[in-house]
Amino acid sequence: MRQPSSRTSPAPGLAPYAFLLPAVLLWLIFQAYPLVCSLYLSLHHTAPGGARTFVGLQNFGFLLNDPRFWLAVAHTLGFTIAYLVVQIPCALALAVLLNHPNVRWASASRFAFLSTYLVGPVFVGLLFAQLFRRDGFVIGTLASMGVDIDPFNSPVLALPLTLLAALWLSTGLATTYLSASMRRIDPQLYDSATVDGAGGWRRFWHVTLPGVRPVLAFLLLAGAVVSLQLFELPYVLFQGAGPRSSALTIVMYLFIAFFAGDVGYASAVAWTLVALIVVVGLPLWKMARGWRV
Amino acid sequence: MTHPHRQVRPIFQELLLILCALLAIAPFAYLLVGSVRDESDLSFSWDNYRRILRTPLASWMMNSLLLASTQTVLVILTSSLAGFALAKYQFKGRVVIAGALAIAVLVPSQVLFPGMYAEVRRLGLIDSYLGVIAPSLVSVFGIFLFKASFETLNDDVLSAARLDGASEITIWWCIALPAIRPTIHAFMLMSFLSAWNAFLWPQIVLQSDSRLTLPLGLVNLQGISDGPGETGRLLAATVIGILPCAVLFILLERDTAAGLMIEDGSEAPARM
Amino acid sequence: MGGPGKTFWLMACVALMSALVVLSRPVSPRTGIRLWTFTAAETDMLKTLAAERFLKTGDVIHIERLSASVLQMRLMSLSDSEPARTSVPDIVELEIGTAGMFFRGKEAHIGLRPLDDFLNRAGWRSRLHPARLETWSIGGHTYGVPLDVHPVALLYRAGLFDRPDANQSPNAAGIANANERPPETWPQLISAAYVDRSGQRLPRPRFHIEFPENSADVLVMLLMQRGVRLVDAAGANHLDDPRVAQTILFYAGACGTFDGPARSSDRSAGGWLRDLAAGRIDVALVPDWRVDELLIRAPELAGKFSLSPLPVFDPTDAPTSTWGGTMVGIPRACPDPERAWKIIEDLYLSQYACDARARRSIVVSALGGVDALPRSFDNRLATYFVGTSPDIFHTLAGQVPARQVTSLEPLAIAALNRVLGRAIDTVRSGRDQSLQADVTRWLDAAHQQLDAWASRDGG
Repeated sequence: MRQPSSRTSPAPGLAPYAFLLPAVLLWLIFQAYPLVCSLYLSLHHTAPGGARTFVGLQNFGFLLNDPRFWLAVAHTLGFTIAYLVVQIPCALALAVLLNHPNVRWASASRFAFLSTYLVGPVFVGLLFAQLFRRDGFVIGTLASMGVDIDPFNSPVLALPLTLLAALWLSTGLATTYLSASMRRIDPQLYDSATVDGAGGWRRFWHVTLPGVRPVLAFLLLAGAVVSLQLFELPYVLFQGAGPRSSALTIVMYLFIAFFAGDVGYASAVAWTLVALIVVVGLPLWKMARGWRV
Repeated sequence: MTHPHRQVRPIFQELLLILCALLAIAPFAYLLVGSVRDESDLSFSWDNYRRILRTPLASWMMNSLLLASTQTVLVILTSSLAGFALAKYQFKGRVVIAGALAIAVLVPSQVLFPGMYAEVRRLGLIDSYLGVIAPSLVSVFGIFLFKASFETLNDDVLSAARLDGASEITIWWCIALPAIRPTIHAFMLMSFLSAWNAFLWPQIVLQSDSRLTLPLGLVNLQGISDGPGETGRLLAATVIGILPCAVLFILLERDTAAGLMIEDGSEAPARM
Repeated sequence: MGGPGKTFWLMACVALMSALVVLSRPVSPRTGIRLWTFTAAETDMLKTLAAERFLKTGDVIHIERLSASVLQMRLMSLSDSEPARTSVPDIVELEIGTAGMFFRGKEAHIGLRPLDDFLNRAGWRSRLHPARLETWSIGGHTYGVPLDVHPVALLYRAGLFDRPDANQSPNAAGIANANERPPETWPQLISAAYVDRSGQRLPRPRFHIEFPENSADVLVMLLMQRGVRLVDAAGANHLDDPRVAQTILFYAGACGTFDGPARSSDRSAGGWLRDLAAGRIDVALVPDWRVDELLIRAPELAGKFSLSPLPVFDPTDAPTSTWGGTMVGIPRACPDPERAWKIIEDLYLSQYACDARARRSIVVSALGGVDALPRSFDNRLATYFVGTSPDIFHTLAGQVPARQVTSLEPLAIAALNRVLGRAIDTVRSGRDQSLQADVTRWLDAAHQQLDAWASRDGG
């Protein structure tokens, strides 16, 4: 039961301002101001050594005309969609499995699923780079079965490998959220559904799913925003943009531009990413708020 | 829900679950086995770890520990303070600040970096530890997480404490924080992992070899490990690299979901 | 009591303790010279030479190996800020593929020190390979000392192009000496894959040539051979040269045919050698550094392969090309360039250093006058390869086409990569009736885009 937090306690003077001060100050200095700086820089052409010339919206014009940028966008969007489409049903399925009554080893499995989360994008990249090497364990086994593939040398397989690594990394966390949320669903709802004659699948669809809607919304939104910023995982996995740049993502494009010395251009790319996140995130956010009830 | 008269053991589901769990930890098995295997004759050997210790891995580890732990500690303090203020007080400007921060949540960190870079250069913080953690010292996500978490606390306890003469800061420290420990733990794990794996910003800021963090050092190591027999060494480095995260995970794993489960707001997070 | 809990205090302790460890690290004073390099072989070579120099002069030289991309990133960020004196290296080696970004913009902003005054001393400039010196120069100044030329030869399995000859007799090594040279033109070489030694047409190719389909490296080599400069010194790009389209059509045709004569080699470490040993690849374009790899890492392949100059497209093409290149330079922020130059002379340019390198590897130095090296060093090529002149790379070195390092070159190569990929996919899918027109169109678009970049970069 939710206790409405009463805000009728006497306003204790300066306390709230003092509490907020460190965060707000830090935010202003190290996040808000750089944001404005970035916007300013994106309108300039910079070269190493600090030379800066105002070019207006030319940076944006360039990047919108660069087929390599659109390649990055295609890869990033494709990855995001595939990621969400695969992760959420898988996490749901695993959560249902975990919460099934009388299942043994549920808590050990729970631990196993969640443990993949601790590795982090950089180390997952290192691990999978070795795991899927041409002469490594996985590819070698596949080769002995007659399947001759090399994800590091075929453009078609690069993003799927990245997707696999990303899913391994984060599905456990999503499962944990969903599983915990499922456990909070009122059991009486299930009972009344069974009484009404609903079978397993219909119980899932009409009781479980609506019950975890808020978490689903959160997973969708958070998953989309994080996927659009994909960078460390493919960069470490392929030590660059991959075969025929098939693992190029928007942030990787930004990174390359930054270290080519053009900070202004990198800034323009970053703001374009913001626009993309807003375009993709806003509808998901609205949906999430609608599902909160 | 279970039907008490039908205690059927769901074998199929169990097997499926075990299979998935094994798939989940299979890469770990590869990692551990590969790190203690000699490349040429596939025998058990600690060689890879010995070779790894000849690289500056220890110094990378120290740098990463320093940066990640400091950042985590500070971000918990700032975010929980701000979250508490937003949750429990009515004051002028509350709506404005909350609104501004709400918009800031959608902003990806990468868009800050060009501006941060210019600013850090001007402040002379290039190649310094402070320069690395500065953009992450406050987390808007954290503020909202703590705000939602504090909102579920019963105000009566706080009022009682005030009547007893406790100062606001004492209330925050002694009553509010302990009550939301799961949230703190969940956020701690998240922050530490994010700081530990940070690559983009440290690569931009750090220049000296002595200050390299673990991801930076390992990516360089990966780039120069193009000879035969380097797999084991890289795997050993990866094992060492995820060790602190593993320790933290084991300590905090139970609280992860519970601590973040305030989205649906149906009840206060379970205390564990 | 209250507070955030035990784990929080654990974290705080970790922070404190690591702070103590880190801050109590002795700050090593800046003594000695710092040198950055990126290949294992070079690192070993330099460490040996530096150790010997230390015994003679007492100078301490720290050799550090970074991966080429990380080296470029760190040098770029050092050029962009005012770094602490301790972090700027004194000497850096740069790889031709990643050096482009240092060669742009106003002269004062280039992160490397112009070396003209050093080169003019002791006549170094006149002794270095002129085309390679041009490579590392821009705006009338030279920023790097070229270390190599990297001529490219054709590697092929011994006897691959033999024609049956009644007068054959095996030589002392038991290898038939009638080692016919490979065909003279590239199209002839590809067709030769479908014809066996007696002239019979074959349904499937009898050998495979390494034409990677995910990388434009070999394509660029072919183009350079033909004299096409992707980007010239003035920043103009030549992607719209008709020879580019023609070469891409040829290349895509070879790659796109199902089970055709072209194959991509394994890109992982040592993969190329495995492909050669396993017979997946029989013919390849090899610069001298790749041959070096063969000599060192694959002694079991001795006597199985031959080298020859490259086939051409037109009679005016060069019989060789170039792939890769290293320069050594001094960052602009280096505090003591004189000392750094002295070290460069000792470790790279002196007779002693050149002798040591020549003993270790067959890579041709950019320093002329080294031709006077005892020929015994080069016999390795004659003993390893069948019917190959020991001088082959030295001879080819004189005909290596010129190449310019600019920041636009990586973009041009990326554009080529894209067009090539599309062309190969089109051939594969069978919808290649209008391939020539398509490729020309794609190249024109890329040409215009690069022009736009060039005009923007010139600021």
